[in-house]
Amino acid sequence: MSEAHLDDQRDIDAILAAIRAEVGASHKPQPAMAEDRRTLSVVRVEMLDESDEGFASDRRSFDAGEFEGLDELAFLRTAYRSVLGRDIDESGLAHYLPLLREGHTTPREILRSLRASPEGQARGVEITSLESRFGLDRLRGVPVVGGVVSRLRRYLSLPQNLRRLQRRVAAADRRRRETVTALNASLTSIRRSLQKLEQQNIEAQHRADQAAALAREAIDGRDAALSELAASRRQLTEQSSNLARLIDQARLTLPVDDAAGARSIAPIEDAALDSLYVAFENRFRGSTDLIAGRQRRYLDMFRLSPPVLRGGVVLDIGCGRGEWLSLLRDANIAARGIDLNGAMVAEASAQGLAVEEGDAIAHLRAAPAESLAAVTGFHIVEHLAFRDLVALFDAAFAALGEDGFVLFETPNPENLVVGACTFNYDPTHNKPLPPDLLRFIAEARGFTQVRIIRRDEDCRLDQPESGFTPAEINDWFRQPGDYAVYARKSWQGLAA
Amino acid sequence: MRVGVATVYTPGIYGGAEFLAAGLEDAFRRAGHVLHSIRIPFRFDPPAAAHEAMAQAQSLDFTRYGGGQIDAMICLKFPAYLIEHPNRALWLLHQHRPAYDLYNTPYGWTQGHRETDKLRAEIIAADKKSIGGARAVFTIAERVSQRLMQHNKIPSRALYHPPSDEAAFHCAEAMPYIFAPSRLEILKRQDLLLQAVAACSRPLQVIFGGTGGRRSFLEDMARDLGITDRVRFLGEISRAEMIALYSNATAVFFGPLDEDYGYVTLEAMLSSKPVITCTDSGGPLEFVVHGETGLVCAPNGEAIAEALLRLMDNPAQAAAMGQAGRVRYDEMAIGWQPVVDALLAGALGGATSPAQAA
Repeated sequence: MSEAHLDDQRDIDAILAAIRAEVGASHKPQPAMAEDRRTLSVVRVEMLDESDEGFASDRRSFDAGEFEGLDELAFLRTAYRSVLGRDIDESGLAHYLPLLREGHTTPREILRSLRASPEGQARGVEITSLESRFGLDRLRGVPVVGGVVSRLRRYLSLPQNLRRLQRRVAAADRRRRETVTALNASLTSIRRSLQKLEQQNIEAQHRADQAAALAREAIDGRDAALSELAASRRQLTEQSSNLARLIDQARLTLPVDDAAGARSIAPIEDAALDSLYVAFENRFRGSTDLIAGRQRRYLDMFRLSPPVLRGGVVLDIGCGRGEWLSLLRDANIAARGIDLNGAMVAEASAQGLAVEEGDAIAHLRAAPAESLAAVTGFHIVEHLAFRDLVALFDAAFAALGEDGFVLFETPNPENLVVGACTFNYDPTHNKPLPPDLLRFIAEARGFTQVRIIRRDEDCRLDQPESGFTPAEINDWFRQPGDYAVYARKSWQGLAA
Repeated sequence: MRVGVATVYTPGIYGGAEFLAAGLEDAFRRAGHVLHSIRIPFRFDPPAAAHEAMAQAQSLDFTRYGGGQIDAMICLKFPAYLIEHPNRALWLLHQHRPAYDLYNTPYGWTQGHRETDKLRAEIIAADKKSIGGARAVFTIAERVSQRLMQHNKIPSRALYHPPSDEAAFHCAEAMPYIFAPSRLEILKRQDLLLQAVAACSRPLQVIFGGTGGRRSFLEDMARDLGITDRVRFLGEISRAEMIALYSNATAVFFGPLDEDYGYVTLEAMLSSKPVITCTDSGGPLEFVVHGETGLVCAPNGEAIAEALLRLMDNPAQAAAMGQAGRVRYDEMAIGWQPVVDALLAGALGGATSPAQAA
């Protein structure tokens, strides 16, 4: 056995006290143990502060006087915390509380014995003024005298007990007054909140009544409009079938090889189809507001384009109901439109937009060279046969001025649902156009800066394209349903 | 993945098995799986209750559960492992012990009773079919695997899991005492340690943590041996206090009789403390390397006394053994993630299980 080890020989109780003090002092919860996922977050209601029975846990020196003015329970708790650094245990409480209450011992005596215990010595706090004023406690240890003294003591220390009692009553009284004040303040604010709630409740009830009345009105109005619509629709259907019957009769009366007569009937049939297409657009393409909302993202490209800034005109081919033309007009950009569908042209004209009925490619070819700032087409190119598609790019290129550009939006077959299913809703669609095909055609026909706009951020021409790099199957279903090809006619590009 | 963890539920009981199930389920959740806790009600008494519970477990189909398919079923205890499922792995805590290792001992069923003997035959037959039919068979400890081989001739692999609060254990300055944390029960054999303290040539100090049915017996025994001044029974202690007592001990004593696994060994290793255990202690022997991470001695007072003195008189050697224990713990890669990985691989047939290999 080594000498060093002998020196280290410590008493088992001292060891236990030291370890317990260490456990008690480290309030840091252990990382793994603090974690409890199932703990519910509970709103804490702040209680009135009753904490005048505690000292800072790292304090190591006290004055016995500091422990006065507490009731017996508070004193015992504070004394254990301060002197032993831990909460009082059940046995300590059961032992000291009756002794203290019945006057068999004094707070100072308890402080002394706690301090003198092995646990207290191990912690080693300093307590001043521990000796009682009469110094009688020490005599208790002396035989005979001790017995007499301990009996005398209670009489001798009576005035002191009385003073302590008075101090305690005063402290309790002070706490009670503070409590009452705090309670009253809380009650006042609760009452105020209640009044406010009541008021809000009445107002909310009132508003709800108004809303209900409005809703009833709206429902009645809608029902009326609906029945009116249904009636009009019946009427229209009847007229349309009458018309079809009339056309058939007219055709029957014509000689078999009367080409001129057939030509005079064809436009009437086309006009009937035009109306059907307007109905189709209303059902599947989306409302005017919805489309305008989707198109708004392109506006900045036009606002910042040099030829547009110089007052150049934008031509929108297949302008339909004129959503895009309205947006351009609101942005103070000169624009006009052309559409094959007479019904749509009529609808757009009614809004005061510059629109004419006719074939876009023919119109572009007829336009003076380099007279346009931009050519746009939303959901047009997928209707064209390949020959016409190439012709459109060529005609647009010829009609555009320097730095002019085309912007054609079309369904995006990179989204497989679009390519395989929804593209086919439109009976007049030709075939889906993959982005790289349009890019290729634009580049092949002389445009230089070509980009595919899939997402909003692609409209920033100074930023690189977002592109499409599928990593998993689902990516083929998450692509935006539409994309646009942007292609610019630039001399610089040509020179390079 | 949707994982089912099946074990038994006995009202009013929350012990090691329940802690283990909760830890496993937590680990599956942390690994990102959807977890379904499945509990088969089970009573120990009367013995015939086992028969009913077996029939119940065998009749349940958990292939579809909770609105979807359970991809992997992990079964822990008898009779929950009788549940049928195509992707089933077992992680056996222990079998129904009255029919196996406790059979014909004071703790299990006695041989010759017609009712329990019939039930025992039924259990053994069902175990053979059900455990043998699992995609993979794991146990919580080598000792359990040995018993499974011995009684049922079924090979299995031990998968170790960490004790709770694994990260909180640490090493601190060694003080001159032996720490003996465990429930005070007959199978934990604290009496051996008391005899050893009495047999030591010089006074040694021992701190017992934990409570149990044998407390007063052990306290009386300490008084009769005249060593009351050297031993302390702390009773129920907080987890934080227990961790502190581990961290300051010179050595840890853990000498139960044929323990399955035993967290005490692992907790001592985590605290970098040497473990003194006995040659018939079971689980601890899988971890303690005699002379390197602790001492393994015969289960009698004199042998244990010698081991105690050897460590107490050579604190440096004791500390070195403790450090070696910690290194060994880290090398064994004991953690929940390896358990989760092995169980899933086993249930889905990704790894060749020992049962299939055999």
